[in-house]
Amino acid sequence: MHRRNNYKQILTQKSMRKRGQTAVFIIVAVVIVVLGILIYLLYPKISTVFGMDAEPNSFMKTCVEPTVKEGVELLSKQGGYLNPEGYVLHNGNMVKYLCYISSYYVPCYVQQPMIRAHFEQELEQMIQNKADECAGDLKEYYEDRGYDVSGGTNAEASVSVVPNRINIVVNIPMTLTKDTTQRFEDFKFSIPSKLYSLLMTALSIIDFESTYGDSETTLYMQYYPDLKIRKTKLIDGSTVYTVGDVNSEESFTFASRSLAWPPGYGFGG
Amino acid sequence: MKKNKFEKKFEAVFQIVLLLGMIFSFSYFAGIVFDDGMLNKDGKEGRGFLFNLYRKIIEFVFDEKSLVSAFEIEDLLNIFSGTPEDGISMCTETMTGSICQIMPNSVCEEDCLPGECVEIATSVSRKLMNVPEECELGTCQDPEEGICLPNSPKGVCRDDGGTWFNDPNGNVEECLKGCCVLGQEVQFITELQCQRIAEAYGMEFPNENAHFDSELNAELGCLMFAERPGKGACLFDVVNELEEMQEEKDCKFITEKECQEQGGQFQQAGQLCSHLDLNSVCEEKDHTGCIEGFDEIYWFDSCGNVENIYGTDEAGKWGWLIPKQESCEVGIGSNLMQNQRNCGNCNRLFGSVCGNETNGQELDDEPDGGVVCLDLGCYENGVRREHGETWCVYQTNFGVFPEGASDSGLLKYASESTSFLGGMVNSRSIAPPGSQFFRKSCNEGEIEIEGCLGARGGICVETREPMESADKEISVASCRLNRWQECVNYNPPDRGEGLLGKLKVETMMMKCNKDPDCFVKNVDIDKDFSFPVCLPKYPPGFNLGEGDSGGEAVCGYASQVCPVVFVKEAVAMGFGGAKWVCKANCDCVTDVEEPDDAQPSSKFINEMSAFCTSLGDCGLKSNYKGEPGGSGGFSLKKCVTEDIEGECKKRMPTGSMSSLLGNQLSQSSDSSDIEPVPGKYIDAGDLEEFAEAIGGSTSEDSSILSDLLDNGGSGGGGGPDMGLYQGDDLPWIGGVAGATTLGMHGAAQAGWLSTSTTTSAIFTSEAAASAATQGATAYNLVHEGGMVSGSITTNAMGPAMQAFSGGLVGASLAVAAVAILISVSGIGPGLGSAGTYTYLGAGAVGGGMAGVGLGGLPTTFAAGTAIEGGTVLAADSVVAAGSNLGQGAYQLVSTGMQFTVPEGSAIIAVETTAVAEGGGAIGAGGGAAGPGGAATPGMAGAPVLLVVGIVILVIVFTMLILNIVMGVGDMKKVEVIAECKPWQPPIGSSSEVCNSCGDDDFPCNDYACSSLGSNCGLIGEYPNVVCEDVSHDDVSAPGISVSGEELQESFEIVSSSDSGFEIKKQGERECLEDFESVTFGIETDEYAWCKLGLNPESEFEDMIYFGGDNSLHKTHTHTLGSLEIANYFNELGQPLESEEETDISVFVKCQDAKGNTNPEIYTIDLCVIRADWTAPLLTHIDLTGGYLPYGTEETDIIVRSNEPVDLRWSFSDVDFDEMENRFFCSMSESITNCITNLVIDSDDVWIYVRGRDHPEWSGSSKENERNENQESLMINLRRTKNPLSIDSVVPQDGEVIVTGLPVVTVNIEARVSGGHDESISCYIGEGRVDSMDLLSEGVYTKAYDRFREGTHTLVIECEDAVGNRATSETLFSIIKDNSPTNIARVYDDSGTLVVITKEDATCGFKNSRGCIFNVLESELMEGEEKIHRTSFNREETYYIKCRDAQGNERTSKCDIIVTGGML
Repeated sequence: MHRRNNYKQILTQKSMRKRGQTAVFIIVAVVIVVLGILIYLLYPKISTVFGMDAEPNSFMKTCVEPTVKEGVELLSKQGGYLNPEGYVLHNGNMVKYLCYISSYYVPCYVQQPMIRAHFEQELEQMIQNKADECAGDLKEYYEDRGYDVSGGTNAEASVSVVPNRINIVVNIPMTLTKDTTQRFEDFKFSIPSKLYSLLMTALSIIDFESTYGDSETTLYMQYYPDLKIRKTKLIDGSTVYTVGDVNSEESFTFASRSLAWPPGYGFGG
Repeated sequence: MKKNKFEKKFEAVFQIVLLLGMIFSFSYFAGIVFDDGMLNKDGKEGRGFLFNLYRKIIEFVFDEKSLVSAFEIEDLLNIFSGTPEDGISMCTETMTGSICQIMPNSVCEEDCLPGECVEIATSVSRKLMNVPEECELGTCQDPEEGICLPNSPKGVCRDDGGTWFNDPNGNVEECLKGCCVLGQEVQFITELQCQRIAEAYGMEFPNENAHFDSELNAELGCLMFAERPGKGACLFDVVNELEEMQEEKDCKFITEKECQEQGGQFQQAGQLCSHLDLNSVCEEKDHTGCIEGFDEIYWFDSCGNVENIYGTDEAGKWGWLIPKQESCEVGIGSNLMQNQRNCGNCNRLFGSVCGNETNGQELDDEPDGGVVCLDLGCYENGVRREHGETWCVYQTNFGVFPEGASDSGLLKYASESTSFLGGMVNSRSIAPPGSQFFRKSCNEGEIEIEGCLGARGGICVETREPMESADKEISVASCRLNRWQECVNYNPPDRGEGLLGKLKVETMMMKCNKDPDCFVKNVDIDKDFSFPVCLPKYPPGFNLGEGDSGGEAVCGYASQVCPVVFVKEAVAMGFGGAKWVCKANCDCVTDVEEPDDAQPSSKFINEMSAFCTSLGDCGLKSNYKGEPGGSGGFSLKKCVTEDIEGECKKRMPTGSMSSLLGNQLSQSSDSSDIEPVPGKYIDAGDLEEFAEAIGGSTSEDSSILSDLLDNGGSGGGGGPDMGLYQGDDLPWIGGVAGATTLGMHGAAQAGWLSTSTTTSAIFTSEAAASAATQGATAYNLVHEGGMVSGSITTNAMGPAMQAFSGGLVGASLAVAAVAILISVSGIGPGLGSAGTYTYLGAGAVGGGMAGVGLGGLPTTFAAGTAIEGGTVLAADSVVAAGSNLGQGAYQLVSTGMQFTVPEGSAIIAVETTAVAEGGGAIGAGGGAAGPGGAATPGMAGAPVLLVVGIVILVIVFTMLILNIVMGVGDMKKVEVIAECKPWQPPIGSSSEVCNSCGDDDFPCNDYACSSLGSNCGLIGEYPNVVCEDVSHDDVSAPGISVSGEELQESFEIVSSSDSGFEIKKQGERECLEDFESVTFGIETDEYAWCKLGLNPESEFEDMIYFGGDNSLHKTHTHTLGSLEIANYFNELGQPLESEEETDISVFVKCQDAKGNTNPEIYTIDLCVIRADWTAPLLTHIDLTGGYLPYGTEETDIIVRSNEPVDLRWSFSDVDFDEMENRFFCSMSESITNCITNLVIDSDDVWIYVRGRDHPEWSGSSKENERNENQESLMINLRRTKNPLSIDSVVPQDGEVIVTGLPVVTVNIEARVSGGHDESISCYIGEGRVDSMDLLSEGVYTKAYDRFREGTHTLVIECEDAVGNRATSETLFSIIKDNSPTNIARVYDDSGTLVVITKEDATCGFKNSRGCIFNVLESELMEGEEKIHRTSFNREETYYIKCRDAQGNERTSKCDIIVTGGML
């Protein structure tokens, strides 16, 4: 059926649509204002409701991450040890011998075969206090906001170095109670890092050092162009290796003394 | 023809004369022999051969006055082992936190945590045993991550939670590396590590995208050829705004799985999105670009999907992915960037990688993308080096000079085998102190430099491989250990005896020649001073800073003494006067008229200097900057002794020292040593081939020689363990001069040495230097023989015979008189053969004529006597030495053979014989000319004959007396001495010189810095180090003070001041007595050289170094002997009075590194007395702890005395006079070595030894003043009870080892019994290539980790320190099994599924569909051999895989799938 156009009816309809539109805008504006007032007045409660799940984790990450990075940097300069014993002083750093023999003419004995695990342990110890401190801060933060916080003490940090990142888990059971109760077992976050591959390269170098007394670093760099290895031979027969990633500019430094030969025929050296 | 009566009579008479003469002769010799104590009462030691050998050995080795003896067995052990003999410990944890450190017992308790020190070897020669469990080496695996690390101690691995495997080489299945494919990424890691990384990436493992390929077991192969998951076009429907389905589809180039996950329709793997058949919206070749992690330039379609490599010819494959290897090539031939402008197939390993375009590096058709294959090559001095190329760079020249001197090959050497040749004369190796070997590498356009092991402990070797289809080479360089110590070890400890000895030396020289790090230098100064020596091609450097005492010992190896013998000869029988003539080792000195004026010849200096500098940083040479070092590295001295038997009293600097040194310095500063030679490099060669060759098993020549050597009692090889120096095997080079000395000594004693061919034979290689002396002494013998024969008279038997007898008696008496005169006066050597015989002949003629005249009877004139003499009895042998018959001896032999026979004479001549053996020659000759000829009757001529005869005799004796007055026959020995010491850096270098370290583009290091000056030192830490003048403010001389700690215990310091101190002997007698010495020391307040002397006027240069050490020290120690002091005063002509105390002062000067010398002389006062009130101090020289090899029937015992001694021994402890056996003692003025031979008839023998000093007073009025031991030196000899034998070897002969690994560790084990079990060492490889470890008593092991598939032969040699040896050989095979087992049978046994495999295996199954799983992670069936069972549900499908004992299993397929009872 063909419908004829009624001009007046059309105008009326258009006018009503305009008024309705205006009303909608007004209503929306009022709602926004009211919400703004409500948010202002009820911020703590609202923030709890909306941000509860994510914030502690973020808080913990923000709090612990600088310490983790500092720890990684320091440990990486010292062969994965915070307070190394059996080290060579190189450029002001105590560089741990990961493979060492004091005698001449003998290949070195590996001093730390579980280098990744040890690095993780050292880093865990380094961030442990910070994790405790951060847990305390987090607890105080919520208590300031009227929460009843149980737990939140005796934080246990654990670290795992995996390809392309370092995973940190701060285990600290914590229960927050206000209107509702929420329980957290741990807080997890990651830091992008090439440390894993650097440690693997270090292990491979140690393998060569302990077997042949030396290592060929050029091939590493050719096979793996992201790697940059600096090898410094010291007069006492020690070698200091710095394995770096050209993209992230991270590096790991360690020392080795293997199959050392004294100058000349073996005296006085 | 029948002889007439006269002839028969004559023959009878002559034979009687001859027999009588022989009686006297032999009696004479026997008397001498007994007088020398060669035979004892029971005659057990009476073998002249052995005794002469012993005598020779004693002189050879223990000549304390000789420089060469400084390098003895103990020194060798210490030098090359680097660890002391006091036992070795394993410190499980040190005070500094290091774990499992090997160290000497002496420092272990100090450096180790309490209770952490465990002895693992009783001495360095013993192998490691009882290694604490926590320090056992194995492979440690991180169980979480699967990372493995070989050579890890058990303790630390387990403490940190690791899993430890008992294979230090990583050859365990869990640690087998393979190719881990994780999406587009590949890594060469273990399977568990692969799995963990996949999990970290959130990937399922194993599957198509994440899997482990154990077949790709090489890293490069993994990186280049890993099969990454296939990608293909994945189509997606496109709906427009009107929600209408479009014909053209969207497309992504992804894997099938990704496609399925994203809901797309996967086409075919390798099909590009731009393929026209797909009708996708993506248009081909929209732009180019790089992909992170990939080297190549790729095309991208308009949707952003990757396409083929830019520049690839797609003809026939359009729309399909073309593999990299089928794409275009960037490099062609030698130009690796040939197609840079039109090909995008960059390859980092071949020198290019995708990157942004630069000026000059861009693509021709400029596709949208702006990328190009960037050149990663480097340029150095205009020479292109490819990315990844490594090459050697040399700071200075190196190697052997002249070129080719080291190229004397085996054949060449073998052809000259009898002359010990094999090396070049005048050759030397170049090694400027401070220089180092470096390696450069090109990496992504940057050149990096790396130093090899410092002080030339490492060398850079290079291989140059030609590039395919190109005239260019690519270098591959690496730093490896400089195996210089092997070179020293090739020099056998003794020169050897006879043919066997020569073969021994030759074998070692051949090995030396084949060793790429060594060369044979032939020191050939004179025919009697010539020997080959194996030296390093690349001499190592020393620690040039503080004292390196090792350098002293090593450089001292090249300190040699050349004894030159001069004889004063009569000119024209003495009518022309007399003159000195050089007779032996004349090329060692300059040509002079007076022996006292003799100076070392330039030939001697050059050869000795070359020998010296080739050993290391020794002698005079320039540092790597061309600056000459100090003058203390090489010195020349001489010593003149009037008596050739006498010892050198005092070594004096040569007169022309400075000029001689100047020559040397100018030579060593030759720029050819300093400037590197372009293009010269050390070829990497094939060390394995070399090792095999010297092992002897593959070289017939070597093997034959080795067999011979084995019979000789010692093997080759060596290495740090110097166990081969045993028994009589003694340092060899040291023997050269020792032998020379002995030669003269022997020659002087030729009267008894030359009595038999046997005796002579032992001298065939030893008495070389004094051949002339021997000859001369032999004349004495001739004369004595003449005397004997002259005493033979005949009775008158008739008128004719009476005349004859008168003549004969006269001739004989005259000859005897002449002979006695010549003999007693000692002018024989100066008369020469012609002169001697002429005088003898003239005497015989004169005597004969006088005799006939006096007889007054018809005279039978012996007109037919030999021209050389009327009667000659020279039935004695003459000794020739080495390969050279001594000149005089030769003449004697020749003379004996040259009888001139006048016509009509009746001659009976005993033919001279010559026996040549081992290059030596023995002339046992004699001749006798009897009377004969025509008889001239008549008495008228008798008075005339009498007068003429007397006149002749007067003339003869007058001339002889004249010769005596002129000193004819006098001999002098001139020893020219080259002293080789460590090289000294320049003294007092300027700051600029020190700072120049590193300005030659080579990194400065401590060694290089210290070579620039003794005052240069490295400051800072690597790499920010600077070489500085560390004593630039030092203008003061070293302060000197007494060091009480260094003073010998029996002495004390009685006073001291800033200017010196005084020492006295404790006890009643305060002065240094005869044969005593005192050790004292001083300290300086800075590092300094200190010298001392007895002359206060001496310049610093002319004084001697404290302790002979020219290194910088703060503590200086010296031992001064009373004889040195006495000799000094003798030289001054002020001999010390007997039994009178004399105060003396030792003057000391010290110089610091800056060259400051103390202006005020420091003095050490003491007193000496020429008296001997003490008994000899006896020491048993024993290298085996008194143990003897199994089956020993006799042995030598050597006892050393601190003074000349008569030494006796007995089986019971009795007084000296009651001891029935005697030692033979060398002639010496101080330390004396004595030897005896003992028959061993039981396994445990004790003997007692006592000595009595001053043997020269024996039988004299001073007999009662001689001191003798009141207590015996007790010597215990223990014979090995059971022979050393290798009872079993693992792998057993014929054993087959099956493995699934590409490389397998084989634990070699030898079980040994017998021998001297405390000192047994076992080695692998003929020639003791590698030592085995002592696992437990009698069990020796060695794990070799590089055995691959094939058949292998192992030779195991065991020996103990006593000299017992055993050898065993085993042949075993390794078979690689890398294929999984097959299923032989499957059946349902009443509800039990039974699978039977062809090999022992572990089987597992899954019921879910799919065969990508690991057996060990599946549900395992029972049974680990061939039969495997599990319960069977007929409703289920069983996907079964099996893993054999070598770990082989199928990766993506099942071995069998069983469904409902059906296969």
